[in-house]
Amino acid sequence: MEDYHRFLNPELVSRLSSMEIRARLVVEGFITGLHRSPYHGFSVEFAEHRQYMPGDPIRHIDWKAFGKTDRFYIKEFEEETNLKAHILLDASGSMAYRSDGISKLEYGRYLSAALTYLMLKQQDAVGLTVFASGIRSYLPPRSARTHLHTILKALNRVEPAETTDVAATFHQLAERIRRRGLIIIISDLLDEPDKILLGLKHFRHNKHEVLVFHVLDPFEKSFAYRREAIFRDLETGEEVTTQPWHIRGEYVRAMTALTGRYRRECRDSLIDYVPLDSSVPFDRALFAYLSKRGRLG
Amino acid sequence: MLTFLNSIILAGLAAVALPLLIHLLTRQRLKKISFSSVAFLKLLQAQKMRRVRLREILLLILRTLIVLLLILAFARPALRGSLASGVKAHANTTVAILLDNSLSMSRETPRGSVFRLAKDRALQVVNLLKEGDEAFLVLFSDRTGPATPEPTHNFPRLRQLIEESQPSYGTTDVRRALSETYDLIAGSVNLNKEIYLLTDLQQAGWTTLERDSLGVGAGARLYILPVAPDDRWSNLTVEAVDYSDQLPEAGKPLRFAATVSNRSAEQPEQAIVELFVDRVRRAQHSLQLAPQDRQGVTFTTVVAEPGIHAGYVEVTDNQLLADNRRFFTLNVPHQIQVLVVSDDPRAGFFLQTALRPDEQLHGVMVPETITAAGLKNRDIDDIDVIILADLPELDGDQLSSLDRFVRQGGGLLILLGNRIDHHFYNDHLLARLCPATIQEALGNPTQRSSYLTIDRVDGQHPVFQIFQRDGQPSFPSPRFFMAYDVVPGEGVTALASFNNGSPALLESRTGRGRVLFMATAVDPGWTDLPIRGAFIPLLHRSVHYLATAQPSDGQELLVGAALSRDLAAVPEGQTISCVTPGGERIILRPAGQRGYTAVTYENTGEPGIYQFFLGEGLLSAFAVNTDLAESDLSPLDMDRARVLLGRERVFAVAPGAELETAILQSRYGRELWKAALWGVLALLVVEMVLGRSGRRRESGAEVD
Repeated sequence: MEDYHRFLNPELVSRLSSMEIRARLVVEGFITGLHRSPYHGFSVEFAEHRQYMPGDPIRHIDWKAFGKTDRFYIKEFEEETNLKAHILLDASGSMAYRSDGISKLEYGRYLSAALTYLMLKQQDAVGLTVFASGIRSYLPPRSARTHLHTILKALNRVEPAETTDVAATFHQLAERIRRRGLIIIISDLLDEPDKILLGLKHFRHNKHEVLVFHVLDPFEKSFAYRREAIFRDLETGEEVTTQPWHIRGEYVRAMTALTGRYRRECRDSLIDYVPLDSSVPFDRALFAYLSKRGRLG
Repeated sequence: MLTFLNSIILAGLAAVALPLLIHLLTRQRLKKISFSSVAFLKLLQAQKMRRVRLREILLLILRTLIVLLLILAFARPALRGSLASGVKAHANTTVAILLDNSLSMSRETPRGSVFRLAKDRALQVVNLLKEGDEAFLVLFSDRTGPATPEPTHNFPRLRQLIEESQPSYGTTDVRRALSETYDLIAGSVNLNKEIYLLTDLQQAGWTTLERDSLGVGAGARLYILPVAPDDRWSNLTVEAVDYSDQLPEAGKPLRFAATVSNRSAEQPEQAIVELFVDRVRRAQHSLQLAPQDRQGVTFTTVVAEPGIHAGYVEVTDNQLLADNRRFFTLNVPHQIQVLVVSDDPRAGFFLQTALRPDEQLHGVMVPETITAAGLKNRDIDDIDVIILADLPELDGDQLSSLDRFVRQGGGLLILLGNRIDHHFYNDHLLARLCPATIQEALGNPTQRSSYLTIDRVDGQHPVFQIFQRDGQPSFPSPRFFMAYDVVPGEGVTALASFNNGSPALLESRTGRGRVLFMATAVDPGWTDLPIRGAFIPLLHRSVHYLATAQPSDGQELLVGAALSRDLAAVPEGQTISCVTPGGERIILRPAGQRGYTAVTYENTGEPGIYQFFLGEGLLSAFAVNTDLAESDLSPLDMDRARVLLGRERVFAVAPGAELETAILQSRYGRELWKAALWGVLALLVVEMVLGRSGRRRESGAEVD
């Protein structure tokens, strides 16, 4: 039996060939893990088969069961909701940064794919918005399984942009997404914190549930460079020459203060804030999602 | 100013730019890392990196200084005072080694004689000479003698000359030695000229410089290398031997008064003093001398035979041996031929009687009385002293004969009287033999109530030395009822004066002889002198003085003095020779001058007795002694020596100092390479501390 659990490792996942396989293996790995975990009971699997009744959607017919029994059965899940989730993936230039493993953007893409897969498997509608300095692509939420391919294709095409304006994009999306839903933001939030927080609060103001995956590279948190180097801004191209050991302490303190502020203000605004780094296994994010999903009923 | 002994290394100063170049190259080769956002970094850079940059600049300066100091250290920087000398530093050098060989250099020290130490130091100087250099060796005392009249490049020969050099008995005259050395090296074409003065710095040698200081000439640098160890020295000296208050007579006791001194300022000395006459020890005394003490010792001995004798007084001493003996000669006259020329029978009687009271008694004085007319036919070559008593005048031949007699060393006593012709005396006799002018007569022989007395005599003069009481002159003056007022001319000395201030007895030196001139007569009408007790000793001492005062003129002969003897004629087939203290016999060549013959010997470099012989017969003996100035071994302060030499280009090297270092230091200044290396070390420590404080303290993965 294949050990799906290992597919929670971002680096390993990055070596897989297609986005769909990545999404499936991540989720399978996650679910496998769930069976062994205290989170057992999440209704992500179907509950039972029932006899096809006229009027049932044909697409719910379990063709495998038909092949085996020569009867029409309909898959019936424990829960069915009409939750609409929006995955907002930050594709700004800063997301392209990688120190040793995969870039934040890659991490975001895989996490998006996994979340999409998981949500669609739960019959939830999911949409994808890729943004940088503005909205670069927008896929409205759908719960059809075919939507998975659409989203995965979109994720495959995501390339990092040069600039970013997270806050403006949030406001723009908040205005665009009228129906209440779940807003999942995958971003490094490297913009002016005040504006970003305002944007997040805008979602909340519009009655959206907001889940923020704050993705950072491990080196962005530790700044563990050893040699003097020229640091070039991935977005602005600006360069700063510095000796990392001189400013590391200050940097880490400043970064800790930033994430602390995000955490604090998100909590105050009832926004779920999940700090991640690009080396963290995906199950942490998926747990966070499921936890959130569970609270949403 | 700063100069560099290894200036070629200075080309490496280009390396000073290395830290800066490395810094710039490193910056150029800095890795570019794409980072998500440098906004944070910029913020922190502004706050933190300002200090970091400051430290970087400091480190850069430190590293540059380290390289700079390192290169400077290898270039051997030196501080010196003269730009010109710096230019000359690598030029060929003309060196003059001035080796003090005066008597004081003979002092013995625990490490050998001072002169041996000086020679060792001189050899060290030779060792510093390089190919292309040239050198003079100059031995000096009061005489300067270049051992190498021409500059030599033959350094082995120079070493040999130094080794063979010997100390002399002369005094030191540093000024003269330096002056002659400046002349010696002035003609050298080498830009670099150095004089090394190796001396014991004995004070006496610098007295001429005290009077007239002398800067360093010939564009040279002068190195003073004192060689005498700075220890407690001692020296006992026989300063004088004197018997001049007596008339030496054969078979009669003769008293010698010797003066012995302890020159040391610190050490008391026990001294044994001995008298030697004709190489035989005659007497001995023991003395305890405190520091700087001077004591007199009296020896009494009998010289049995008339003739010329020699002797010395010796003191035991163990540091400076050369001044332990004081030599003297003793002329015990067999007879003194005295010719009394007088037309006054009374004066002739008194003089004849005083000189030889009894014809039957054996005496030294052999007087003969003649008249002025008799003088024409009298051969005076065998006469020792002529007394002119109240002689009216002499004709030209007589005057010339008398003049020749005195100039050849004869003694003349002039006494006045009633008969004298003032004009003849003033214009001829006194004018030629004793420059003085007879003026008016003083007193009246018929008035016995008023008279003149002698109230001042030169107590140190041999004639009056016996007239002393408690060390003070005490001449029992006769009464002079008549005398002449005499005005002495140039070169005439008043030995005694009347109470009115007019001279009573005058002395002049004419040629090799002496003249005593008494401004009164030996006449009972003029004075009661002939019947006073002082008359006979005064006359005897005057005659003895006139007969024996030559040839040393009453002055002590010192090492280096010329010895001479006058002769009427040298017999056919006879030679005159000089026998030195070392026993060497040297034939002397007589030299005629103004009708008489003289022989001279000048090479008196050694103290002792020098004897002149005519054939095998002894003519004269001379006692030559060392200069007492050399016996005081007190050194001159080095700073004072430098002041006397003008300080400019004068360097002093202490006796124990390592010569090459000291010479190079003064030649090129004070070397600073050690200081530079210490500076490098200190800067390295600072750089290390500053560098480490700025380096990372956290571990983290390397990002390439």
